[in-house]
Amino acid sequence: MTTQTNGSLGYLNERVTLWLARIGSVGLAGMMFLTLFDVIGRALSHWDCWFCHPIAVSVEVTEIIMGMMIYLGIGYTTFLRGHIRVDILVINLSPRIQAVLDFITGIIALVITLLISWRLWIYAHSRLVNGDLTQIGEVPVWPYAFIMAFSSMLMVTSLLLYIYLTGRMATGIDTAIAPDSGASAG
Amino acid sequence: MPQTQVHQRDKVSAMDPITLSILIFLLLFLLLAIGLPIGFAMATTGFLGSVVLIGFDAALNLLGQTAYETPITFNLSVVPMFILMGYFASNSGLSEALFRACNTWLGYRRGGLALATIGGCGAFAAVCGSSIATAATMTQVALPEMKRFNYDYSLATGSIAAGGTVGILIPPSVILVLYGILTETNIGELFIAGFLPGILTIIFFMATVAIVTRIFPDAGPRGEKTTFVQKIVALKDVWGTVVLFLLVIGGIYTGIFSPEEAAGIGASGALALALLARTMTWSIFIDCLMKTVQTSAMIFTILIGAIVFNYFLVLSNVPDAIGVWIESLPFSSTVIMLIILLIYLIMGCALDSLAMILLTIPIFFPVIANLGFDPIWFGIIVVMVVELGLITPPVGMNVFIIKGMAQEVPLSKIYKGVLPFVIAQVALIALIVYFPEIALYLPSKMG
Repeated sequence: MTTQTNGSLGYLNERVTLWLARIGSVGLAGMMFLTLFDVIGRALSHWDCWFCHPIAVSVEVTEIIMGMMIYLGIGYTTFLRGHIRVDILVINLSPRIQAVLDFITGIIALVITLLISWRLWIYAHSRLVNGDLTQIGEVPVWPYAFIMAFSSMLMVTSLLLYIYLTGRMATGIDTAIAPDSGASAG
Repeated sequence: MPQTQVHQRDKVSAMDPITLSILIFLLLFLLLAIGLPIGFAMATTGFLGSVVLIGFDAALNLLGQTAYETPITFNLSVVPMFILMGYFASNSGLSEALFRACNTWLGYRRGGLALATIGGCGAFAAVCGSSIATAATMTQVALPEMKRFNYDYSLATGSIAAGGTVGILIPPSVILVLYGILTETNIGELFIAGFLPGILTIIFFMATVAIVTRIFPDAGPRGEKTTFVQKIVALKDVWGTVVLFLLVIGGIYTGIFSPEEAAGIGASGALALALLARTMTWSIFIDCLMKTVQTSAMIFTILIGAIVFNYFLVLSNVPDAIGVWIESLPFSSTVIMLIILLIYLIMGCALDSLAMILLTIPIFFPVIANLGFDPIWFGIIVVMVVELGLITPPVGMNVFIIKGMAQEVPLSKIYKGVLPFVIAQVALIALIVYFPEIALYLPSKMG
């Protein structure tokens, strides 16, 4: 994975996405312990103690945390170029041509990401206006919808940075270097 | 899939949906070929196709709805939890303990270390839902040992690459979760169905090692003999894994846990094992969490793209059209099944496993269901074919992972070593196509 930190804006983007991902990882740990205590509570439910019952809101809290966690992490993942791509065809091209292709794909990714981020803001806004509440806990939905919308913007800024860097390589301002391929799972 | 209703079709354009779909598919493959990440490529093309079919505003709504609702889908919470479980297990020395225990039991045989590698992979797969993670961990543990005992590089790397593939067949399995979500098939039943075929894979691969080392005894020299006491002592590092697997999968099998709960319990249990083994530090813990967040974000990006693309396919009626066309063909359902498997084999040579499943299931699954095949059985078969894709050239992710960690071994040597296992895997797939009961027996007994 490449971690270029050219310029102060690039540095700022890295720090912000990293910290959002760290907040997301706290949520992840929370998700795990929530399920654990929910199951333990249910197993002990014929006893009488303060935690001896299943956690009624565990499903909706899990959903909320997961929704935030994914978008909190998506900026950092994009910054690290951690999205899976098929690189078998481009990997043998010259670094300069790769940079040109990266520049083009960066712009396409930017367009679809902008659309998604924009829609998430509209969703969050309508949650606020409608005063939507969660089903069991009856807490407002809009704060976490806004967190999702805000974090999704870091995917946009990471892509802008990517386009800037690959654009400089593509136009020959910077020397083109072949990027490392990203992570994968399966 | 998120509970989104696809809007009524009011076609804005007069373009024939079939022609449009062909154009969209061509565009998708072009974008993939020039290196656009898979999730973005599917979202972009699916969105464009929907714009043509239902207009800009409605398509934009679908895109936004999918991006908002996919990450808050409760069923999908098993994905980050099982990924976390895998990271805890692989970063806590568990793989090493499993490998050492297997080696104590099998190491004295011909090709013993390779046998132990396969066994270790199988045991590790029981706590890890990813083939690539299984192969990567086992490379770190098993490859240095096999080098020390002058193993042939082909056999050494081939057994790790092949053994690693069972990560997605033996439960838990991230791929089976995504298959279950996309096809609305019961995830618990899918997991349980993967168990016997997973065990059979281990047996077939061990037999492969035995045959290879019988023909080429120098490829895998015998290790040191161990005493019975040593064998029993070696089990002390393994019981935790067995308990965790029984708890998670047994819980799903008996119906005590839902898969979502089992995943959370599994992650907590793997953490507890690592703490007991005193191999978990604060920085490793943080590292596991951060990697899980990144991997989850990456998987959900692909998933959102796949769902957007799937909406386009539904709107275009293409899966139905393909289904009608296939039924008009003068072939039996078995032949059609074989053709579909062949398509998977070919695609598996070029595409990432996750992307392949998410891209093809919306097209093939309705066809398969119409022909009367069991959806659970088909899920297992697809995963086994995808496993093959992980070790076949030119794009075998497991092979690449090993190559990345053992630079001095030429790629051709790894592929040569993998070949006997490919043959074994094909034989096993044929067996399960012929006897679906191997996959379906355990789910039919579920509580």
